[in-house]
Amino acid sequence: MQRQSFKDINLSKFIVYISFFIVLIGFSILLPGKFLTVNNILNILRQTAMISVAAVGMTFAITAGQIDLSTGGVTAITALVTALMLQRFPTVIAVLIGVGVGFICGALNGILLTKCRIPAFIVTLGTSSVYVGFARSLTNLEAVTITNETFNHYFGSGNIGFIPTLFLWTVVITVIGQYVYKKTPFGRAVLAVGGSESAARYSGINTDKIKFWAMTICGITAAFSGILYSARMHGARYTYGENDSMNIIAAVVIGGTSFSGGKGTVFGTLLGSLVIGMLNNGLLLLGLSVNAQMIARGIVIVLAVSLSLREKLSN
Amino acid sequence: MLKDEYALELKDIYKSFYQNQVLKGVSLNVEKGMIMGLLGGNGAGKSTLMKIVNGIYAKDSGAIFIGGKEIELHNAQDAKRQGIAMVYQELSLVPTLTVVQNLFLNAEPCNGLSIDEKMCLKQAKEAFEDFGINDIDPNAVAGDLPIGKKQLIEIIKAMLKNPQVLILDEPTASLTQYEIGLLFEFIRKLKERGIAIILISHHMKEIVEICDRAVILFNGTVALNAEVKSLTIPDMVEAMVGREVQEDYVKREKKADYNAEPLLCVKDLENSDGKLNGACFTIYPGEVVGIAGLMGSGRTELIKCIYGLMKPKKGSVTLRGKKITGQKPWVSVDTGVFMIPEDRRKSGIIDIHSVKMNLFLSAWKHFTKGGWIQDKKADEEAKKLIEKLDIKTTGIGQEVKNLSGGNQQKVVFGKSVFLHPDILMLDDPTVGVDVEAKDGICRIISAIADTGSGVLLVSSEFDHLARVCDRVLIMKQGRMVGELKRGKDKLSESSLLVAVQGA
Repeated sequence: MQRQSFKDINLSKFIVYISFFIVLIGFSILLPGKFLTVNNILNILRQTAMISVAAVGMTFAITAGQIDLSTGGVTAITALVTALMLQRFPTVIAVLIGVGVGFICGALNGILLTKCRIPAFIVTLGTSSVYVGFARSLTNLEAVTITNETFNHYFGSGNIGFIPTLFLWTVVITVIGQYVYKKTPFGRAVLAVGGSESAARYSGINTDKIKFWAMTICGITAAFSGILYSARMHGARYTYGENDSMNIIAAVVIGGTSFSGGKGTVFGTLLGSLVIGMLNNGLLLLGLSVNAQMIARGIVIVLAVSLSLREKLSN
Repeated sequence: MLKDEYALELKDIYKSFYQNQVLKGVSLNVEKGMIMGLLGGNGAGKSTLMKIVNGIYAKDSGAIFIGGKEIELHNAQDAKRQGIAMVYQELSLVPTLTVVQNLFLNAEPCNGLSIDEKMCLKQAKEAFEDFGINDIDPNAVAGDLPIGKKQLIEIIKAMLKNPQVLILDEPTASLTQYEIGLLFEFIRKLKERGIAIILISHHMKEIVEICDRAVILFNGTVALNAEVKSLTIPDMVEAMVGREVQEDYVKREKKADYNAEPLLCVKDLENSDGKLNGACFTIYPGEVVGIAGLMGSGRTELIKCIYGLMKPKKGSVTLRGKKITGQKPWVSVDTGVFMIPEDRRKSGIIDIHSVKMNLFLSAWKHFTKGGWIQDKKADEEAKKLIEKLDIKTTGIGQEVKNLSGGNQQKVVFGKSVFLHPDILMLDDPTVGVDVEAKDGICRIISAIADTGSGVLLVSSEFDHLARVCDRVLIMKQGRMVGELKRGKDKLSESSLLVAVQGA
């Protein structure tokens, strides 16, 4: 019995490393001298930051047994609102307002989920459309340029030393996420609600409150992802985050978080998002057409996710 | 055909699971047009016997006769073909389908490839008429019907196959008094048609009311097989309990303090679904109060109302003189009221989590320093609890799903031991745990009461109540109808059974 559980723990933790190294080694072989270079690695870290950050919040939502399909819309609204605010306010205030937008969107998802008893899948499928529509009408599909260089440097295209600020933000958000997840009563309650909502309720955990905050955190990190997008691109468009939902959810699941809730790690999610990031980068470098990239990416994601799910189902 | 030919005859049925001999030579017979009541405590072998008759388990030895002919049953289909029908306690109607669709589910009369809806409706109406039921619309959606009508439909569904033997497994468990009356009327009609009926029930009064014969199983043998006319409830209790064991109640270090202010006062508690009807009682410091009642007596609702998982409609709950009526569960935990639920697997533990994670499910905030959990402190505390409660585990990190039922239950107890609540409420904590773990649980309950907490123990195992309680309240139809107190009354399994069955 002891042996059995020992095996379970190790296997599920290894899956993410296996996927990580398969993708890393695979592209290094397919793209000699192109993929595994310092420049390209820094590039991957920059490209992946937006997914990594949003995936931190998604880890909370999925661990609590929920899901958020509306992150793309939140990312887009936040990018635009932050860009517009930067025209009037200093960087810090604009960023805080941007995060506030994510808070409101996530909280709305949480309220619909807990007060109206609508499953998260349906709630966020609906709000996703609402948020995207809102983003499109915010500037009437116009892009907004950002000329605030401080903002662009510290949240996007700059480096500190040789390390991209985007990667530093990824690390900061991941570490904060990991600590909240592993070291606070709230994190333990999220695990409990996803593990067994009934047991959590009987244990005196306010399950609605926990689900509300898991969704709200997911909104906040999606918003932060939008802030990073706009700073990296020195402007905002309604298309930011458009196709990220699948990548974010895949990153979380490849990272070892149980899709049915109750188990996971935020560090695993970071590795999972890097798997996705390498995939996006490598397929592009291979010179595949956009259409072929989409097909290949979809297939690899399904394979990677099935790998991490299969191990869990075998218990 | 001989007149005394039995509809169903069981001869010397034996059955064991591995080392565990469950049936040790059970013989009984049911005549046509007779209602036989089948009783027995948990583990007496009732359900194993019925599953053998229904073809789900294979008997080790013995013989089954239908209408005088020996038969072999290999699966449930065989049993159906031989004219045996069983209606289970958990109703099998699909709530979203109509009554007619349910009646003919998987056996629809067909018209080529499509279902002959007209034929279905016609046959259903004929069946209803035949059984004298005129208040069920065959086109109603099953889920919208009250439970009593669902029960009737379930029986009619079984009767459509023209069985000779009909087995009803606790059909009255969730019915109201009025619905039970209707059901019995219906069962009597079936009896008039010459159907042999076996009725499994925990309610002796019902057996006396409707059955011709009562068979009581004890420990895998027939302890009593007699005409109901000649039986009294104490007779049946005696057969069910077996020879009374010496009173072996768990020694307590301290006694309940009846001079102190009561810890918990519950007054006239009612809830909206009518399962609670003015429940009243008090618990004193250090007292273990038991609730003895049958399923559906409102015992689970009582605990849920006090803890806050259910909203009381009327009445009050007072803890140490402070009103706590209707407070939410997370407030209850903080004010010192905690509960251990009935369904351990679903609501007690999180089986994919470790022992440690489960032990402190409700308590993480007690381990924080500046908002962060001190895991070292929690690890130490978890190890202490494992030792104190004698939980058999490979360590604090072992997943709870790999523990035995008894040890899982001890983990659930661990949650409350750490919290040290003023009032701990337990809903049937010994279901499905082995004898050794049961002893352990008895000791834990006594130890909790010794610290001055009050314990409210709901249990369907009356021997367990008799062992640990200072006082047992008899609950029926949502209120307390009697009380047995240690030292004043005889507190034993049989005295409790008599009190509950007679109330």
